[in-house]
Amino acid sequence: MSERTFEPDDLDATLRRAMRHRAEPVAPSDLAGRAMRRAQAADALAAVARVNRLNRLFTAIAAVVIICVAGWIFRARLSAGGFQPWSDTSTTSTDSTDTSTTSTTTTLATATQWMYVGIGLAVTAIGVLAVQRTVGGADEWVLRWNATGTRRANAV
Amino acid sequence: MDLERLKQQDARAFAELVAEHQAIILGLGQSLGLRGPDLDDAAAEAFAAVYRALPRFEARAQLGTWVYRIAYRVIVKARTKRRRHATVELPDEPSATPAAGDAGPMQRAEQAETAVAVWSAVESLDERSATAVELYYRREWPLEKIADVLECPVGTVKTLLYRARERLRTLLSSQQEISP
Repeated sequence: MSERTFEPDDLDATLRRAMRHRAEPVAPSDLAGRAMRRAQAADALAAVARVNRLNRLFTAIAAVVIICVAGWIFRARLSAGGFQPWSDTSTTSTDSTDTSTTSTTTTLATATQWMYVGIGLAVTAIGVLAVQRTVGGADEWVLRWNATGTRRANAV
Repeated sequence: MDLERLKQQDARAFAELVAEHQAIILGLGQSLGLRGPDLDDAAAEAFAAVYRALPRFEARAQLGTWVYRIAYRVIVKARTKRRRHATVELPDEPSATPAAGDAGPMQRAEQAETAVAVWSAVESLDERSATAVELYYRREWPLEKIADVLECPVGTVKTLLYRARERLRTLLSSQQEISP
């Protein structure tokens, strides 16, 4: 940045007069105390924010994995002739002697197992989320509010 | 001020530090367009940043300059954040009018109007220029000290002031044309 000539003029005097007579803002009460509380809350806030970021990352990864697995199962089912009624799996396995019938029964049994796996995963995911929200209810937003909560009180 | 106590984050020493520097920091925030709770918040955040950094203070710069550098960065961040959630705000009340000696009521009113226009124009400047104007005209700091706070050469501060004055000249003259 090049240096320019800086000579006082009328505007200079106007600026000086106006700026010097500007009323000083009123200092908030116990500014030092507020600053210290804020500084002390900052470490806890940073830790909670870090955990929350990890939670969001793992949730996103889990969502992608669940969608991929569900899509793969759906596609596999469609290419195997569509979804079968649940009752088919328990009745068709013992009576058949024909080779083609046996192979169909196996496919149905596998699909049912995958369904159980899917249901198990979904229930586990919901359980994990429920526990997480119960245990970690006081997350960064609550801590942030506690650290800066005086803001609204002062604004009134 | 006892540096050792400050570096150990002693509450009383810190309170003294805040009392000594709060007017300059609040004034800086005011000239950067922060008001009310936004200004209080920015000041508290600035001093919180100072408090956190105190154990690492190495006395390479003067304590005051170091405090203002930290505060400047925090206030600029607060200003950027506030601009993202911009709201329409009323200008400051001309409570402290620049009364010039035995000026008559008309002249005083005119001066008050000019003062409000100047404050508003300064707030519309970029951060570095507004800070330079605030510290040079309001606090009457030497250019070297302003350069220390802005972490730039003295020549840059002169350029900032030169450009700020040109911009203010344009803003103020356009306002005079608009007003009857």
